[in-house]
Amino acid sequence: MRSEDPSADSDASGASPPPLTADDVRKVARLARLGIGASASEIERLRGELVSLLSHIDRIRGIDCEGVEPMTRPFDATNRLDDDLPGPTIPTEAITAAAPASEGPFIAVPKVLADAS
Amino acid sequence: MPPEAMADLTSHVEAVRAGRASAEAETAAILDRIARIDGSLHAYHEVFADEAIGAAKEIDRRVARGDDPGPLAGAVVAVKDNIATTIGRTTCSSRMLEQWRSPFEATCVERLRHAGAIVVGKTNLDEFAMGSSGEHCAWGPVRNPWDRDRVPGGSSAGSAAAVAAGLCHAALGSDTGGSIRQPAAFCGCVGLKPSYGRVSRHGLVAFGSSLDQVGPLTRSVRDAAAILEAIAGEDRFDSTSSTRAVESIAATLPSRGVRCDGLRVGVPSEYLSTANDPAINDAVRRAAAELESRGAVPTEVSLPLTEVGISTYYVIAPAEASSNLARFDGIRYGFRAAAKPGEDLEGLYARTRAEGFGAEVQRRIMIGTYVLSAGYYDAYYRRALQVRRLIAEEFARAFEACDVLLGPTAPTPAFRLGAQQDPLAMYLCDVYTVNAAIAGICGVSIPAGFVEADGSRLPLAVQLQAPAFAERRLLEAAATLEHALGRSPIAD
Repeated sequence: MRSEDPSADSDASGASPPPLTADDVRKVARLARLGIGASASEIERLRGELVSLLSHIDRIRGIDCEGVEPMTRPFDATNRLDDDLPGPTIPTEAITAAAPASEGPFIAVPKVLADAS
Repeated sequence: MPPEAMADLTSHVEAVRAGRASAEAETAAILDRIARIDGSLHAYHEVFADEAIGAAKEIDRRVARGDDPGPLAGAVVAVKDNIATTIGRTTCSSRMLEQWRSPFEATCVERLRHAGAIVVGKTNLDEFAMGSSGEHCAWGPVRNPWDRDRVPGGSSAGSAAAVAAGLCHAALGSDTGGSIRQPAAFCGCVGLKPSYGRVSRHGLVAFGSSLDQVGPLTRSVRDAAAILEAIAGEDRFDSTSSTRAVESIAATLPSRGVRCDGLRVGVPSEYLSTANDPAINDAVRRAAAELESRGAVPTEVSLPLTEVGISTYYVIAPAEASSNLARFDGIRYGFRAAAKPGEDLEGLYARTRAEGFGAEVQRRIMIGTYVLSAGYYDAYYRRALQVRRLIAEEFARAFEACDVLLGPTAPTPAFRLGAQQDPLAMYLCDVYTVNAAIAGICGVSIPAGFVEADGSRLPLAVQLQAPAFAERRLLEAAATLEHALGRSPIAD
């Protein structure tokens, strides 16, 4: 998205805002499945906000993290397994009742595959 | 019932259990107060009047029969609307879940009911718990009970406003970067973020799964301890819930919370920033002096990474949020945009999400998607997780020198509605709360008097932090401070 590889950026002060373009914003919105970007002014507003936030976030690139193991969760709990015992589950009717559209015991969705011709 | 006559949670529960007070009468009085004043606060999205009265009658019957009505018998509790309940809706204050009814109940709510608490309603929040002001609620802003023109803080905005205004004895909130502690500070109540893993997250709608914790907002430290004891502990539905035994804290607080002899209290120099409102720094200094006069030992500590907490948080939390919120696609539950002829499935997802999510949620999904995208993952996400470890290690070093950390909860008292238009400025409100979530330690905000500002009388607060699973130490220190500084009265 950005023209330069940020990991190759030796100046990690984060002082200058990243050169995020309107096309970058559209691409991120597409990846996020967010239907925004109808108007150029909306894209520009979003771009400005993201540039401001990313330039603040860039401060973390000024910290020496050589050899530091990434920490994905607060404490090193080992994952534990539950006994595989049958038990009550959520009834189908409760699931279909919560769905925006349903037909009988099924959730109704728009056609995914095109008609075969 | 005049608000000053309203008992706190533990006093009311003691009276109900002893047959000296009626759970039904108290519940009815609180419902009446909600009906009279919540129109100007907007703390509640839904109130379960009939169900609450029914539950209260059952408590009174159990007491009359001589059965044990539970350790929270008759306590009237509000639940943040991102925590699943089987009565009413669970909306996360979002159009996306406007009509959603959960088919299951959150473990924390189930445990409250089991303990005899009465769930009175669901409180408004910043949409999907993303916000620090209570203004990002799809149903309109929540207001601060001390000044209706000011924000209550967020994201547990309605929970804090409801507790402060006497519209419940206690409320559940959730804290991902300060969402319990900061609104508690703005509204003059006690707000506890337990250690990560202390309370089950089952039934809490996920925002940042490695950060989220459910915790209480209350009018006293002892009430917070009582709620914590009821909701904490291992849960087979949350593999990150800790297997550690739940400590008894509330019962001994009144005697143990008077003095704190030998307690080593650290006030990191970074916490008394000149950027803070002077009244905030004064409150912290006053609190430190009060603890010292009750036997505490002031200890020098430094937390230089305080400042990069926001940068770290705004990579990790949006990254996790963008992943967690991917489930809201308009297919299985929640809102679905009206069908458009010829639109493909991906188009329906994108329009559903654009119409269903508010601006702040979309902004965070965008940041999260960006920092996780190809080419940026290492520069942002991996780097943020490395800084996260450094922040946790910095806390660990500080806690070798001191037992608790004392500082501000937020850099300012409650600000006016609409005053923070810039997203970054809003995020910086959480500078003193995000790092506890990043490291998984526990923290509590407690009232520290009031300040007169522009004709308003606004609550001040201080925050105490302690190592993970040191809730007992944390709340004993908080009780001592509460003893010294006094409790906040109920706002009218």
